[in-house]
Order: sequence, then structure tokens, then C-alpha cells
Amino acid sequence: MAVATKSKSRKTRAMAAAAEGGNSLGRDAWRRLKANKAAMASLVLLALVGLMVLVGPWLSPYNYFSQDYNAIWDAPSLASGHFFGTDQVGRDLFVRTMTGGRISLMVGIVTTFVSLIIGVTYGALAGYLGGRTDSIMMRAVDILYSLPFMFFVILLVVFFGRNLFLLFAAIGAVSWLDMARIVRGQTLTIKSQPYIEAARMAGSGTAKIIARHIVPNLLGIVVVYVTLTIPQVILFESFLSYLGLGVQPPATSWGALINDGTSEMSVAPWLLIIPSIFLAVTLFCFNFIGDGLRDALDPKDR
Amino acid sequence: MLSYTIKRLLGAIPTVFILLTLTFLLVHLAPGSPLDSDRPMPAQIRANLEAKYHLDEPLYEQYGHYLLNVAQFDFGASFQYKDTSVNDLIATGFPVSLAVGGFALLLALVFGIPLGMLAAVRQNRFADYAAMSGSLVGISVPNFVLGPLMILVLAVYNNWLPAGGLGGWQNYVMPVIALSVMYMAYVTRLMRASTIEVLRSPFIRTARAKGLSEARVFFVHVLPAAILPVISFLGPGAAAILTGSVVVEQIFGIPGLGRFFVTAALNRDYTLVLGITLFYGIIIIGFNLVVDILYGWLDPRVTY
Amino acid sequence: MLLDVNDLKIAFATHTGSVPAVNGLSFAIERGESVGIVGESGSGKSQTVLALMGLLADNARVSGSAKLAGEHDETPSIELLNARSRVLRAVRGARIAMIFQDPMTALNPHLRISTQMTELLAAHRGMKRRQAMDYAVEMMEAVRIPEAARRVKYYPHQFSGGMRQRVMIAMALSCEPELLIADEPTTALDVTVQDEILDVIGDLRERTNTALLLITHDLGVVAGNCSRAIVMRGGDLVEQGAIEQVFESPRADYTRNLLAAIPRLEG
Repeated sequence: MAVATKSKSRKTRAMAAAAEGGNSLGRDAWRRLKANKAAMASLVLLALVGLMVLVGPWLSPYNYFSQDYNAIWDAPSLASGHFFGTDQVGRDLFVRTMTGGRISLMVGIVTTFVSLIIGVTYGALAGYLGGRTDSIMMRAVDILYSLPFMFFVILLVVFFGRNLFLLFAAIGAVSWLDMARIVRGQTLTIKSQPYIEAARMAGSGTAKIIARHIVPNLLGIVVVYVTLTIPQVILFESFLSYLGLGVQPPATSWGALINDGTSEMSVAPWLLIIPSIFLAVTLFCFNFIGDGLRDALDPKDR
Repeated sequence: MLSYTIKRLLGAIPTVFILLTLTFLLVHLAPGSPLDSDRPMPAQIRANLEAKYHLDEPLYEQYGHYLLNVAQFDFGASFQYKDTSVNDLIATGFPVSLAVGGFALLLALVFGIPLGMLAAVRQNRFADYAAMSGSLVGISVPNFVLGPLMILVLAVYNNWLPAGGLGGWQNYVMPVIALSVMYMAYVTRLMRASTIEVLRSPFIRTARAKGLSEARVFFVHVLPAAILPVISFLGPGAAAILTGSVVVEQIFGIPGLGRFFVTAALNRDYTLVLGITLFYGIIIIGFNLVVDILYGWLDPRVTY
Repeated sequence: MLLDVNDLKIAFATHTGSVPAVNGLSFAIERGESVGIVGESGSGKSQTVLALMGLLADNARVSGSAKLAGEHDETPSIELLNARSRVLRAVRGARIAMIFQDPMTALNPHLRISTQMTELLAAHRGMKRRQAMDYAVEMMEAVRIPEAARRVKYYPHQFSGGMRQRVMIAMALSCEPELLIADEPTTALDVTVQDEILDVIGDLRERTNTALLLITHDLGVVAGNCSRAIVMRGGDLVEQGAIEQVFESPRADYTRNLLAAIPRLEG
């Protein structure tokens, strides 16, 4: 959970830096984003979900694993302190939803970070080096693309144990492909700009050109893509957890809670509905912000 | 065109090969054995079984055997379902998955394409905002949320549709919708973006300057260009629908290939897991090939 | 009088308010006459002709009048500005045709040339497929495209830029319009091709007695192809008059500066 806060604030800071920094494109984009009411509302809502997930468990007298056979399938109620009700063994759903949210968000952010590092490095290298190297690197991506990855990930977690680290690695290994493709395309465009030629004429080496000129210009599209990858990864984790292949008890995540809720829905529908709302709202906010960012950085669409 | 098809078919062979090798290694290098169970097994029986499934051979020999069998489209015998071949299991499970997945893809296209076009034509007006917000909701509601919620409302509270299993067409309604919604939303967004881009292109202004009817401009000039990104989405989209059906089949208790896969993985049914992964891999590769050829046929600028 | 434009005003509604593009422009074109509109980018010359065709962006606000004479002496004239789309469709392509600056993007890359040419003939002249096809080939031959019968089946990307502009001309003139609007028709082309394109336009116009409204920033092109010139700047009319008058005794300083900026070999 600490990781979740840290990378989150890093992202916000990067956005603020892009917004306030001397670069007018960033400031323009930030202004356009602020004008986008839906995106700003999503940002606020998402911050709210993040805050709830972080401090929520401390606001409740219960914890996420203790069972209470005197409080089975209790409906949501403020009086009992079970704000979201209880499950089939009397565990408090409010605390479980919050702690599950920590895992879901952490998986989303950490894994996206993994895929970001791999994808940007791979894509920028392929795009910048070009020629044969590029076509071989991209051919490899094409081949990986056409493999049924979901099945691999399922096999991986089934056969090699179901721990969080493996989950990061497995999902990260899948989700860098899109990032690599997009970064490569953008690098190709940037590379053909006259200022890169000028830098090369001035005697800058490859590493310096990539670090100084290519990567900063990739920032916009990468920020957009990160906001769109996080919900995909959260979705992926929930998918695995729903199948019982992700986070293992007593730990939980939104996907795992929805899975539990599905089997109890006829007697205790809140077990299905509440975690579903949290998952859907989070995904929705990320998607809306990503969309808003894309429009803000590339205003020709609106 | 023919030479391109042959070239692509040949190019797919190494991909299938890599797929096969990776899956094989993954399955066989994993700790544990499909013969492990809660009850201890007499040594003699275990040895017999290992011999039957070639598990007593060195890995490279097993690999060789498997390769040879797969080359003859024989995926071997299942560990879990005794006396049933993987081929038989695929033959029973796939038609069911195909029906659910195929209808879901069809539904996504039939609704997504017109919705996206409508949103583009009415850009920044009510219909656009409605379609775009709707599609963002669609993208944000996973099938394993939508599926159970539909069961709750349509089957548990109101007895309108069967909650699961396979019988008549009623059994397909909820799974197909649950699987389709997210892709419908994708197609809508894709179609909107590409239509807007095409509407802005100079050749559309030319078409209008020629005094053609709006219908002719839209259906003859805009549509063929705007639909191309949706065509290229079909490849990855179909793959995603196939994998998505894994969870949908689980939710609705549909005896399809996705459900077989999950139980096979959990029971370490090596041959069935390998067989299904390979089978789906080949289908996805094949589908991508068809989509690429279709794309080339629709876009005259693509040369082979 | 073929076209009579009176006090044409165009403005674009944006988030930050209304941005004027053309501020009250009046001019007229006789049948068969050739008129050039000269001006730098942003002078409003392209917006003016797009307004006549009803092809401006949705946020454009147009006022004034632009009357297109009836097809025969006894038919009433038609108001083009803010006209109904049915009225505009009958005019576009049939009575006023247009060719654009960039022939690389002005043709639909997804359709064969034959389709793009015959759909026009079908829409305005009710021609059947075969007949339209023969006529399209004939028009392509008229703009001097070699092997027209075979090439009519090509897609645009199979032609060079100059050839595509010829196709555009063939298409624009295939319904024998009374007015041809050419918006920078040679700007995107090689210098060697530019004269050929202007020649082709000139030849065909003579045959069909089509009037020409030529938009350009190149005074040389106007001098060689037009009998009258309209000079625009920043959405305003600077001056208009017969070509000799504008070139030899310009009334406005701006026109004098434009003329002085033309490079001359003799210096």
C-alpha cells in the first residue's frame, strides 16, 4: 500500500511538473484538461477511492480476516459498524473491500511501472536504431502478440504458485507490448524531426540524443498510455483473481471479492454489488482521465 | 495476393513452433506432476501410468513425441478425463465456445460500428456524448461483473432467463451480452475516432464538392476508409474474446473450451492444457492472417 | 452576369468569440470570364470560395449574398449562401466545379478513378454505367492522360501528383460546369508540371466556355491566366480591376508591394 501512494504521488507530481514546467505544450494541455469536467470529476473521484482504500480500514473496528459466526450475511448497516455488511463467514465487507482495493491498485500501479520500463526502453531502442535491428525487434513483438497470452499467464500462476510477485511479473510481461509499439512509432516520428539532425550534427552521441531529445518528447504519449494501462492491468488481475488464480486467501482483491460475491449473490447481493461498484468506478475514472489527457495533449480530436 | 498468403502461412509456422515449445516447457518444467493426488498411488501403477503418458522418458524425447503427434493433429490423451482424447474434448468444447464468442463478436460489430458512426457525425452533440459515455462505462464494466449482475437481476430476482447451463437459445443471451459489451465499446470508440478523421480529410470535401448525396458521401466515400481500423482490431479482438470466454463460461457454467482449460490447468492435465493452448494459438494466428488478407483487399494502397 | 457576390462576410465561432475571416467582399464574374483572387495565406481567399460552395466548417457564420444566374435567361437566379443542401447539391459539380490545392489527398484513395468519375456523371447527367465510363475515358484523354482507357481503372496512388491533378480537372469539367473554381491548383506541384496543368485548364475552358475563378498567391499565375484580378488581404478587398490596370497602375500600396516582390531576371 505504501508503494501505491508513492507512485501515485509521483504521477501527480510528474503531471504537475509537466503542467508548470517551462514547456508551454504541457501548460496548455493542463489547462485543457482542467476544462474537461468529466476528467476532472474522475480525478477527484479516483483520489477519493484512493483515500478510502488507504485510511478506510482504520475507520472500522473490524479487520479483513476475522470470522464472526454471529454475524453471517449481515446486511450493510451503520449501526453494527458493518458499513458494507458481512460475508458467509462473518467477515466485514467494508474492510475487505478497502484492503482488496489496496492490492488491486498496487498491482495496477506496480505492474504498469514494470511494463513502462520494459516497453519504453524496447520501443525507443527499436525506433531509434531503426533498420534491421528495428525490424527484428518488432518481428519479435509481433510473434509475442499472436500468442494466446492469457493462457500463458494462467498456466504460469497455476504451475509456479500463486504469489503477488509472480502476478506482477506475468502481467507486466504481457502488457509492455502495446507500450513498446506506441513508443517505437512515436520515436520514429521524432527521429525524423530536424532538431534531432541538428543535435547529431552538433556531435551528440546516441545515448545523449535518446535521453535529451527522444524521451522527453515521448512523455506526453507515455503519460496517456500509463493512465490507460493501469485499468487494463487492474482488470487483468481481477480476472485472474475471479478465476481463483490471483490473490490467495486470506488476502483479497476486488476480483477475488467479486468471485466470492458471485457465489453468495442470491442471499447477500451486496457481496457482489459493492466490490463491483468499486472496481468499475476505478476503471471508469482511469479511462476517463486517460481519454481526457489524450484529448488535452492532442486537441485536434475535439 | 496468393504469394502473400503463402508467405504469411509459412511465416506463421515459426510462431506456432515457438508457441508449442514455450507451452511444452512451461508445462513440463513446472513443479508437480499430473499423477500427484491426495491418495498415495502404488508404485507399480504409477510406473505404468508414467509409461503410458511417456512421463518416464527424458524431456527431449517427450518433446519429440509430442511434436510428431501434433504434426499429425493428434494432441494425445487427457489425464483428467480418462480414456478421452484431447481431440475429442476440443471437438465437444469448441463449437460451444465458438457459438458464444462468434455471436459476441458479431453483436459488438453490429452495434459498435453504427454507434461509432453516429457519434462521429453528431460530434460534440448529445448523441456523441451519450455514445462516448456509454462506451466508457462498457469498457469499465468487466464481463465478470456484468455477468453475475445480469444473473442476479434476470435469473434470480426475475425468472426471465436461465442462470446457466446449455439448453435453448435463452441460455446464450446473457453470456453473449456479457462477453460482447466491452468489445462493443471498443469498436464504438474506434469507429468514432476513425470516422471523425476520415470526415476531416480533403477527399471528403471533394466528394461534397461534386454534389453527391450525403448518403453516397457517407456510405461510398467515408465508410470504406473509416472501417479499416475496426478490421485490424478484429485480430486482437477475436483473441481477447476467446480468452474472455474463459471467465464467461465459468460464470454461466457453459461446457466450452475455456472452462475445460481452467479445470485442466488446476488439475495439471498436461495434454489437455497443451492441446487447448496450441489450438487457440493456431486459431488466433490463423484469424490474424485472414484479417490481414481482408485488410489488404479492402485497402488498395497495401501492396504485397 | 454569371455570379454576383455582394457584401460577403464570413466569421468563425470559437470558444474565445467570433473570429472574422472575410469582411464584406463584393465581386462579379461574367460567363466565360477568368478572374483571379490573389492574397497571402489567411487573406480569406479560400474561405470565400468555400462559402460559395457551401463547404465551410460547421462553425462558420456567413452573411451577404452570392447569386448564381439561372441556367437559361428565363430561369431565376439562385442564392448560394446559406442555401438548402438540396439546392447546393444540384449546383455543386454540375454548375460550379472545384479543384483543390493538393491532388495527393483530394482524391479518395479507396476508390478507383473510374468510380470517382462516373459517380459524378451518374449524379448530375443521369448517365448509365457504360456510357459514363466511356465519357470518363474521353475526359481523361482530353486532359492528355496517356493510356486513359487502361488507367481509368487505377487507384489514385498509382498516379503521380501532376497526373492526379489532371484527373481532378477531368472530373471537375466532366459535367461542363459554368464556373470552375481552382484553389491553388498548381501550388503543390513541381514547377515543370505547373504550366502544363494551367494549359490543360485553359484548353478545356475554351471548349466549354467555362468561367474560371482562380485562387492563388502567385501574381505570375494570375497575369498569365486571368483577365481580371481581385487582391485580398486579411479578409478585406484591397483592389480589383482588369489585369492590365492592376499590374500597370495599382491603386493600393499593398498591391504595389506585392508586385515589387516578384523576382525578375533583368532585376
